Amino acid sequence: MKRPKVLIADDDRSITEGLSAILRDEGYEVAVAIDGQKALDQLGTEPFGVVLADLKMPKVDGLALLKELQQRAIPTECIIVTGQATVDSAVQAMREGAYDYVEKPLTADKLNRLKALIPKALEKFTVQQKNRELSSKLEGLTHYGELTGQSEEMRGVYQIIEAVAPSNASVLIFGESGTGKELVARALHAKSERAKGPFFALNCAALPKDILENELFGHEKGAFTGSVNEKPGAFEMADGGTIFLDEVAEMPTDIQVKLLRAIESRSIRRLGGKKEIDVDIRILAATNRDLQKALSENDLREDLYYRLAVVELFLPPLRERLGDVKLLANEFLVRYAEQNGKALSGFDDAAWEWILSYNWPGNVRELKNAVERAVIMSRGDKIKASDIMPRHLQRTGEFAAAITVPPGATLADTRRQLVLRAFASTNGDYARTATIVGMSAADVRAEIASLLNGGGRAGESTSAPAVNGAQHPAKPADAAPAVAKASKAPVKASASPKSKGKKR
Amino acid sequence: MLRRAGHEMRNALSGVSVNVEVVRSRLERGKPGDDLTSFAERARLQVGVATMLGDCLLSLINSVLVAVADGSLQSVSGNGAGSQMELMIYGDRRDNILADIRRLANLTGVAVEERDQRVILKVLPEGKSHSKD
Repeated sequence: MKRPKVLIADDDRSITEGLSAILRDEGYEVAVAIDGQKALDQLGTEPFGVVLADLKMPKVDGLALLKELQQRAIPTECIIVTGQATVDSAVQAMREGAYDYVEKPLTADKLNRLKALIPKALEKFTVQQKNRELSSKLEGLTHYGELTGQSEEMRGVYQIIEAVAPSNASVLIFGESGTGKELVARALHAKSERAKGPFFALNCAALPKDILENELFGHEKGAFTGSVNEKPGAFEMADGGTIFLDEVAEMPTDIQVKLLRAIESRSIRRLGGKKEIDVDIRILAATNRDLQKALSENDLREDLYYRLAVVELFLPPLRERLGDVKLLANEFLVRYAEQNGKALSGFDDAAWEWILSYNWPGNVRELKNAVERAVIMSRGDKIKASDIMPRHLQRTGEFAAAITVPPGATLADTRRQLVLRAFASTNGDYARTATIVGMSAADVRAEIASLLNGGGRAGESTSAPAVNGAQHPAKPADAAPAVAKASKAPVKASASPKSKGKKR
Repeated sequence: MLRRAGHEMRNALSGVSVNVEVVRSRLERGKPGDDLTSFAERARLQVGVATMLGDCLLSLINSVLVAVADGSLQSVSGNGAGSQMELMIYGDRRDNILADIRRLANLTGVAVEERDQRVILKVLPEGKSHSKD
């Protein structure tokens, strides 16, 4: 195993020699720099988890070293060791980012304190280093498991999946229909220790009450008329793995009671059965409902909600991750062109304009279906706007009449949406668009061109406005369990899990 | 000069402490290693430095107290930053006081200049003291 590296920056040889020996005996790899400048030089060429720096050193002193480390973004944790301890210098060192501060003389007690501080500082360094590495991996990531997206919103989703997957915590996935909630559930399963176990998905809205109960808990032979054989339910079949309950808020309330009991006791009883069957499962659930409303109207039991939503994960609608639309459209085009044996080189400009201006209320699923249909319908070497535009919009010329600007949207985001919406409503007429929005035709062209050239991709627009569509499913405002939101913090990414379902 | 002396004293004591700790812990583990005596030697040298610093400090304090009492040391002025100080030393005690000042100055990185009756002490930049290495 690689030994953790510690750099001692001190101009006093009697201290550096002794301290080096102590730390080497403790199992560290130790290097010595006799002044701050030499410490910086060494830190610039090789990584050290911890630096023990004297406050008073020739050339570059301890505080200047800390400042340089910050400015140059050199990753390390610095413990200041000083013989000129004052409250001011301690405060200043901590302000400059020191991990801790130890005063000389290094008595036996202080040496013990230093020995105890180093592993803690190294642990912090290791965690941050891991985050930095994973963050840089995620920077260019376009796919994660079966999910596709490189927008900041999706990177936030990947981050939450990475963090939550290894645990056994229940996760409640929010998101509009077609955003890929099941793919998130599959990714959570694939990245968990249960990945070798079964993944069992059940849509709670698709089945009548009696059948849903039977599907969940199974039945014994003779439990009801026609039950000639015993049948295990989803809980038993998912034993050792993960069960995914889609549209959980649509589940009848009396089944919710049984589900809650099964989750709490980790055991189920088949319909018509008498014995309890122990099950080892992780529960993932999803909903596209307004949860606040579902809870207030008693459609979803509050106690069940708390059980399911140990971690909440919000999957953004496609219109809020405009940067991913182009990536997804191109990917679907390649996939369906290949499946249908068509030699298509891409979308023409008008098709792109329409794709990028439409608000995709059916989200990724709608885009996927639209591209598949367009591939089948197309006759040329490029997809045209008329190929991809839904029939009902072609017939009525219907376009969303309003745009909604959510808090946090930038002026640039809003302007782009306005221009695109007007452009789409004029069937791609630059002059008419310019008249409608009060811009020059050249500016309209530039705006459209910037988007077609990737101007709306990840990194530029982090808060694309929701356009005339449903808002996020509301979450309970108070007393919610641990809420994990997509954040901009460094995140972990790893190899894609094995894909069983279709890629979205 | 006292602040600098304090710093040097803490460094020397740290040198003693860390090197003694190496000797102690290695003996305790029963793995003294070939270089154990070098750590003991370093600790011994640092004890010498700390002792000398302590002795110089006490001698200087004593000289200054006596000189202030009998009027040999008549005025003291310094700059705001505390990096320079000017003393006026008269009489028979001048040589003794100067000798004590020079001993401590030499150990703490302070330059001593004599101009007539005036003695000017200048704190040198960090790392110029003689107690290290």
